[in-house]
Amino acid sequence: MSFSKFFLLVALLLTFLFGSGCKDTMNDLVPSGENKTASAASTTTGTNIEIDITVQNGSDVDIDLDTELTKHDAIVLYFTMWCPICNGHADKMIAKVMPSYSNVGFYLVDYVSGSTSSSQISLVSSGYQNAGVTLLVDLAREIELKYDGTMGTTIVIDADGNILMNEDFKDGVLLSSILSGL
Amino acid sequence: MTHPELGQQEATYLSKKEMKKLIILFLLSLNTGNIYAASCCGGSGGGSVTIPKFMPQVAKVGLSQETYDGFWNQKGEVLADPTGSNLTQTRFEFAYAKRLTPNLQANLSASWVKNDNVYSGVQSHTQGLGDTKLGLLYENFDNITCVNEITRPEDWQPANYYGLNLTLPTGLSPYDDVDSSFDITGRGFYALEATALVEKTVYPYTVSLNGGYTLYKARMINQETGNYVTPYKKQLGDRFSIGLTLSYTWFLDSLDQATLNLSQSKFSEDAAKINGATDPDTDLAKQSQGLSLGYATMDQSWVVTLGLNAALKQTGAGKNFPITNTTSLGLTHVFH
Repeated sequence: MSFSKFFLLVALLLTFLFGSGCKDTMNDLVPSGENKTASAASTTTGTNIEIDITVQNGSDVDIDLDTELTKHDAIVLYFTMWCPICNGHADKMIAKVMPSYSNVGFYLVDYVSGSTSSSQISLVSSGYQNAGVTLLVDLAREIELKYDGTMGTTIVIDADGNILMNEDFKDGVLLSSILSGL
Repeated sequence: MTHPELGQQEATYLSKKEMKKLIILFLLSLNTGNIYAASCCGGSGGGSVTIPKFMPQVAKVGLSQETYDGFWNQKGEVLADPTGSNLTQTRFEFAYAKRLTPNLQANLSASWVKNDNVYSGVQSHTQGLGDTKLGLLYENFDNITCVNEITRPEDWQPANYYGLNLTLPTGLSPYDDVDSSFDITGRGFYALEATALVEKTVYPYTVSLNGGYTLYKARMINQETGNYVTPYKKQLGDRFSIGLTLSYTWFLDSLDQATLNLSQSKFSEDAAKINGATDPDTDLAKQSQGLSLGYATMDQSWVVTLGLNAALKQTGAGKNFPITNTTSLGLTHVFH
């Protein structure tokens, strides 16, 4: 292969990247800082979600998130798959955010475990069984689908049903900021 | 699990994002690692796209499969994946290097990544292009440094390489329109890596030591796994990697060569920054061990490599990172 053919190869590859089915990667190749969240903010009439909950003694009970909303100024749903980053986020939320907001309900949404028992095992092995956070086992993917959640997604819903946040936890600064404004 | 921050799985340097990322990832690009057993002499190290001295070009295709087996948490403790998890990333890899001058090589590597993940109740099967890497490699030596025996001081001269690699975020990252963190094939950041390698072969033994330092370019993010978010600036932490490889080469009756490579590698990455503030729980680390066997034809035109890279499931061998094992198969052709 000649020198010119080498660069032809590179050109073909780049053409493939930019011109074919890889358009989704343009967000990485040319990152944008444009704020497109305006349409994402929404107000609901409630969560309309009832879900199995694994309580800390291991028994299953049903929970109605709308009922939970009536008990708090807001609820925080954190989507976990029990991975290193998830646990890092959860650690920070539990240790640094929760103590400052006793009027807010905090929930870990397990959207990956196939049963309440395996979810409970993950909760215990992660050290959260006595952390004061409530585990929601999203067996029917109700919460995941309703809020388009995935690993690290953090949702804040106020008592009126307004979704104040629906994005990755990151460093927790945005979460704290939003909760401070309640 | 495809590491959501790393994408295509990471480079464990002597055996490769990956990857990560990852790579983790990318996971972390052709993150199959470099085992430079007598690379300047056309040896049969696995994964390398280094052109042997005086040769004009080299091309490689490879297939690797990475399986996930738990992870290290932030304290370095080993935790298992949820029951029923089965996480695999398969990568078809291509690499090419072209000699530009007697001492300078240019190289390109890319990969196609296929994710097959069952993570408790979630199944994901996706594929796509991984991150792409372009590089320059300078050979700080003018003649082949491999010797059969040491008879004079000059025989101790090693082969020194200095490299510069640019990673293009051509894979699907968490910041693209993907459905979940399982779908990613890249890390989403431009990266510039400086590498250095010193290698000495006194047949049948080769020892090489390599190191790398990677800087990631900060970027704006306004989307995560398909959801628009309040825009913010993120910069991954600097990454340092180091690896040691010991090799033994057999010369067969046919004059073909077989080489066994043993490697130990380690990398660490500083915590990321979000809007300029350090996110203290995002630093990463991993140690791994590699074993590979290469077979090279007499004229060293063709090299076949079979490799295994594994991480020990022990406390302190990693931090905030998945535990993975990678098997790889590669075919390299050196053009004469």
